[in-house]
This record gives sequence, structure tokens and C-alpha cells, in this order.
Amino acid sequence: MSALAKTLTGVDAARAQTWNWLAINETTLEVPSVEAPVALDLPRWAEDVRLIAGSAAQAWLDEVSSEPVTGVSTEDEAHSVLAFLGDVEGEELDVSAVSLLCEEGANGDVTLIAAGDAQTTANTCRLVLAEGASATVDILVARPEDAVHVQSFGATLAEDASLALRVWILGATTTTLAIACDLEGARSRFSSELRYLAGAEESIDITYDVRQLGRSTEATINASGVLEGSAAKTLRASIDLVRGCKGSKGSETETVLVAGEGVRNKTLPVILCSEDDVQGDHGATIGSLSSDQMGFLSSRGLSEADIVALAGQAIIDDAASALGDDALAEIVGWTRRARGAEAAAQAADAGALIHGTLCDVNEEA
Amino acid sequence: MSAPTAPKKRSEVADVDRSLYDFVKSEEGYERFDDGLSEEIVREISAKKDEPQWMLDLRLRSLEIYEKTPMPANWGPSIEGLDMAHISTYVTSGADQATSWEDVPDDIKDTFERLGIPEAERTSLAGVGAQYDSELVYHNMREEVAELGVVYSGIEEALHDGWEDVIREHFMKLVPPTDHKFAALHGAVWSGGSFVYVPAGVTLPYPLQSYFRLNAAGAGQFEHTLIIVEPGADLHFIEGCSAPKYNVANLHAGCVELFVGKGARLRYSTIENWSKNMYNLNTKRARVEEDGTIEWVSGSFGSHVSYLYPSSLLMGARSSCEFTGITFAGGGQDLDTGCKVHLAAPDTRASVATKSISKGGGVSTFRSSVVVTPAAERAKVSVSCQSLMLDDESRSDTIPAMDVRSASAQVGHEATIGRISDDTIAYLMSRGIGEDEARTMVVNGFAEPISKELPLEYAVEMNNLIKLEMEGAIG
Repeated sequence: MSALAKTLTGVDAARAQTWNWLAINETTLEVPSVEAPVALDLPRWAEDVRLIAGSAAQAWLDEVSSEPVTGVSTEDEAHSVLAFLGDVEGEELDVSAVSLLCEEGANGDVTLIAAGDAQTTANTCRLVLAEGASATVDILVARPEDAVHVQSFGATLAEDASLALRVWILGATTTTLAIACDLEGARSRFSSELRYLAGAEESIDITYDVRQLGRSTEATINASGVLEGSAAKTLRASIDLVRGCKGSKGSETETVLVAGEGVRNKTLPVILCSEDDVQGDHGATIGSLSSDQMGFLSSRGLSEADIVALAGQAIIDDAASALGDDALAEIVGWTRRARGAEAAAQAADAGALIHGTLCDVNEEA
Repeated sequence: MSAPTAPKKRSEVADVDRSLYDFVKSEEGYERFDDGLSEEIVREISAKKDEPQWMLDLRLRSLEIYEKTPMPANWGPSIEGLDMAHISTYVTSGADQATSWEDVPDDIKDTFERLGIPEAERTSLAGVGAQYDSELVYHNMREEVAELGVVYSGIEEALHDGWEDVIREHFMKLVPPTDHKFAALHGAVWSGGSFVYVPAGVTLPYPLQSYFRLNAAGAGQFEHTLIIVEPGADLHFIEGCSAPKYNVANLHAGCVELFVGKGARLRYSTIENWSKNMYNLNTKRARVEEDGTIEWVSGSFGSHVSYLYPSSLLMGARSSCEFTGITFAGGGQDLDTGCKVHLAAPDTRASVATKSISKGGGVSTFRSSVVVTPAAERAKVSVSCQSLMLDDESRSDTIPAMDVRSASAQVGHEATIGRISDDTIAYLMSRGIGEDEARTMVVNGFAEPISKELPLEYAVEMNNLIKLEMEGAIG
């Protein structure tokens, strides 16, 4: 399917930009081009969902997406989407498009697992939540070395709708993630938990853009991760408290453990505010463990390397315990390849504790 | 016979005299260069100052860079209303620079008296420089400070007074003309400003102050401040500025370069109160050596559009930076302010605390960058940014960027945006305080961490400016 590589510019751009010399406003991405692009057939309700991967990146995502998955949840019947990426043998490029509509009062969930061996995986997820609907979206990126994952996500929420987005990025040479969410209806809520782990020369590039338009909306973004080796990570997180969103609250936090001499961590936590009756805050803690923390942990017999390994394992175990059985096998397999059998056994135990599922750490997932 | 009327009780807001800043003096008899920018104008400015060839070369190179450099299209407030074709880059009264206020022409002296500069000099300053439009009209320093070997003069005077080599070594080296478009403009047409040299180990007992007044309509002010604080020395420098309001655009594109030696300390305080037709595109930068400290105290109240981000380059081990800033954006103002910190040596420290207030449709943007290089082992950074929205017509954005490349560094950042709670106002009103005054009190309290960093006279001026800005905040 794929042919020559093409370079996409303006990827994952921050809406409120800053000095260009910081090289933080956006990124570029090399992806395979296709000989025969397809026209993506979207349901009408999905067409207006705002996406922020960038015009070139989204055009590429749309033209290489095969077999779009569309679902509708109703109050009587919840719809679940489980999509695997990269697991088709022999495929270099595996791209999907998922669209889910949750009708009034309905629940839905989406699980995207990018874990196979394909060189490049990518997905666009469009979500529309009608009044009082709720959805959970889980995204796992557990890719091998030299692999690329490109993720675009957009959601629109009506009154009293709520969305919980959880993302775990465990591995891939390059991961880009662009998340847009519009809280259009009063009292709609968005919460996102992001966990990432990167080492060697891996690169993670993430942009959040949350617009709070309705009254009394709430948005929370929590990100944390461990960066080792010469990993690079950029997080742009914007919360826009738009005029008219009275009574709304927006909050962003990030905690980064920098544990490699060659690490480069960039953070751009933005709050845009044109409404007075709101609360917005962001906080970030970036760097090494403090001397107090080190002293405490050392007194328990832990070396600095042990502490970093523990922090990384905690992210893997969190994914293992939070995600379902299908993801657990992928997580255990990835952990065995990337961090060894002992770490894989621990992840399997974490999953078993919650799900009661046994997972063979010696077998390929 | 009518009963005697009780004297009118004056409110806090009414006590502030707006005419303190907003008055105009005639330009009759002044020399004013043609509007616009050309090589001829640049050469003319240089010739007036009888400069060495290297300075003229720098001006001409800067002009070339200015013409080639675009404004960034993806960030910052619009400067569409600024047309260089309608800005005169050089205006002077022709008055000689005086060392006694008695020798300053009456209308200019009256200006500075109304701004309180001579009185401040008598009571609390070690020296004063006063610039009116493009040239310094007054410069003086206490004898006992001069005896310590401190030099405080105009740049032009220092160039002709044995300091040419020092100036050549430092001038536009921290802020090169290639830095951005208006740094290049500054390099081409700079005029006036201050040169300060504090010898090693000298501590000044009082601050030095330079005050910049732009009186001419449709003109630009491009003063250059160059301060060298040698190892172990200590200086507090205060910069003030104001202008009357006109219906045409004025431009301020000054440049401040600060060199802080080993173990030295420099506090640089600014209360900026440009008029609301001013485009304030100013550049300030400090380089700090081992164990040195730069402290910025910055109050931004005036101007129509501001781009202002004092930057600190912490190049020496254990050097440190403190930035304390407040921005008050009212109607018709778009103030993009903040700071940059670059940590490039072990055990460096930076602390940033800012407050911003938006009201009446004003736009306040806090923009910052913190870059921690791999060499900045064990560096520690703390950034705190608080914004207060006084109505729903205004806007307040925070855009802080952090780039951390040291595994042993620790960087903490926090920011909040909110409003004055109704409970707070209700409580104060229940104690007999009017709503207007209650809000002013809360805003003054919000700004208190900044005002306490200023000398008393300037803290009072800042509080007065807040009262002025708060006028009509209700309803």
C-alpha cells in the first residue's frame, strides 16, 4: 500500500503560539505516502468534529484510512469499539478511522490499541456526545522500536455529557497525539489522564486543545511520565475559557521525571481566558527527584536507577490494570521485549490482580 | 443665607490627578527629522552625535537587517496601527545637557517637576538622568558616588569621554540587531539613554534613576541603556517613562543591556506608564556571571501595545535571577509581557512571580520561556503567574514555555486565572466600604507583592496608577 515517504509540516500545532526559536509551536512528521488515496466516507454527524493534527496531517490521515468504523450508542444499547492497529502481517502502514455517536443519555466506549509490528500506525477518532451521554476512550501505544504512531482525536460534547480519555504511551520511535475537545453544552465535562514512558531516542509529541464554551463546564488534564536516555517529549496543553462559559473550571497538571542525560522535555501549558466568572489553573513539576525524596527512598535501600525503574514500571502496571484483557496481552508482550521478563511478570500480575486474567510472559502476545 | 456646605469628601480615586502624566508641551523651535526611515536619516543621526565609524557601520547594518526582517506572523499582538512612514525617529529641543535643573529650559523642567523627578533626586537617589524625546536634557550624580569611581552618563557622552573601547565591547552584544525586527530598528536609530559603570566591590547607597519622557506626537524614542556592574558591586537602577496621549501612534523601541559580574548584584526596577497610543516594543537583557544576581521589578501600566520580556542569561555557576512583574491592561490595551530565563551553568536559580489584571476590554498576555541547558546541573526554577479578570469584556492568557534538558534540574510552574469573589466584595461592603473602593483595595492587595519590592515613592506611584486604572471599574 505504501510508497515513498512524505514530510508533513504544521503537525500538532499549538493554537496560542510563542517564540519560534523555542521550536515548540508545532512539529514535522515523516509518513509513507500512498499510491491510491481513498476518500473517507464519514457520517454527517462526524464531519464537523474539530481535529487539530494539522491540515496536512489530517488530510494524510483521511486519505490513507481504510475500513472506517462507525458506531452509534443509544440509551438502550451501548456501543463499544475495540480497534487494533499494526497487527496485520506484512502491512507497513495500518491506518483506521473510528467515529462514535452517543445519543442522548447513552454510554459508549472506544479502545484503540496500537501494538503490532507495522512500520506506521495511525488513527483518527471522532466522537459526538449528545445531551447527557457519556463515553470512555482508552488509547494504548505499545509499539516496537523504529515504529511510528500518529493519533488524531476530536470530541464534541452537548449539555451534561461527559468524556473520560485515558492514554498510555509506552513505546514507539515517534508518537504524535493531537486531542481536541469542545465542551459546547452546559455542565459538560472532559477529563484526561495521560501516562508516557520514553527512552533511547524515542520522541513523543502531544497537543491538547480544549475549548470550554458552555456554562459550568469542567476540564481536567493530568499528564505524567518518565523520560530516559535521549528521549524527547513535547506537551502543548491549551484550555480555552471562552466568553460565555460562566462558572467553568479548567485545570492542567504535568509531572515529568527526567532521568537521562540526553533528555529534552518541552512543555507549553496554556490557559486562554475571556470570561471573568471562571477558574483556570495549570501546574508543572519537571526534573529530577528532590534531595528529600531521594534521601527517603535511599534510606529504604533504593538506588536512583531502582527509583527510575519503579516509576516506569508504575506506568506499565497502571495500563495493565486499567485496560482489558486484549490490551493486557499486548502490554505484557511489549514489556517483555522492551524491559525483560521480570518487568513483564510484574505487569501480568498487575493485570491479573484487577482482571483475574493470567498472561504468559514467555509467549509473544 | 444658605447653610455652609460641608467640604466634599474625596474618594481615593478622585485624589489621583490624571494630569500628572497626560500634559503636552509645545514643540515650537524643536528640531524634528522627517517621518519614516532611510539611510540618510540614519547617517544624519550618527553625524549629529559625531560618532566613531564603527557605530555608524553598526547603524547601517542594523537598518539593512530591519528592512529584511519580518514580524512574526504566528504570535503576539497586532502592530498594524504602527506605520514607520509616519514616525519621526529623532526629535530634540536642542537644549544642552545640564547638570543642574536651573539650566534646563523652563517648559522641560516643569515637565520633570510635575513628574516629581527633581524632588526624588533630592530625597532618595544617587543620580538622575532625564531624557526628553530623543536626547538627554539632564544628567547628574552625587559627588560621593562619583568619588567611588561610578560612571553615570549618556552613552554619547561616554563614547567621547574615554569609554569608547568598553562601549564597543558591550554595545548591542547581548541584544544584537539580528535579535528581532525592532532590535534592528533600535540599532539603526538609537539616541540617548544611559551608560553606568560600577567598579568592583562598590555598593551604591541609593538607586540611580533614568526617566524617559516622550513629548512629541508621532515620534519614536530609542534610548539605549548599558550597565556594567563589576565583580562584587551592587546597584539598584530605576527606569521610569511616560508620555502624553495623542491620536497618532508613538513608538518606543528602547534597548537595555546589563552585564552583572561575578558576585555582583543588580536590581533593575521599571514603572512603565506610556500613554495609550504608544507601541512599546522594548528589549531588555541581562548576562550574569558566577554568583551574580539580577533582580527585575517590572510594572507595565501604559501603552496601546506592548511586547516586553526582560531576559536573563545565567551564564555563571550559582548565578541567579528574580523576576517580579505586574501588568495592568485596561480598555484599548493589548499588553504581551513576561520574561525569559536561560540557565546555562551549574546550580543556577531562577524565581519568577507575576501578576496581571485585565479590565474594560484590555488584553493581558503572560508569555515566558525557561530554558535549562544540559550544563545547568542541579538548576532550580520556580514560576508563578496569577491573573485577575475584572469583567467579561477583557482577556487574560498565559503562555509559558519550558525546555528542560538537564537531568538533575528541578522546574516548578504554577498559574491561576480567576476573578474577585463576590464574597470578598460583600464582606468589605458590609464594613461600610463602597464597591468601587472595595475592588480597588482587593486589586492593590493582589499587587502588594510587587509594590513591596519597590522603593516607597515608586510603590505609591504604582498604587496611584492602579487607582487611576480602576476608575470606572464598576458599572
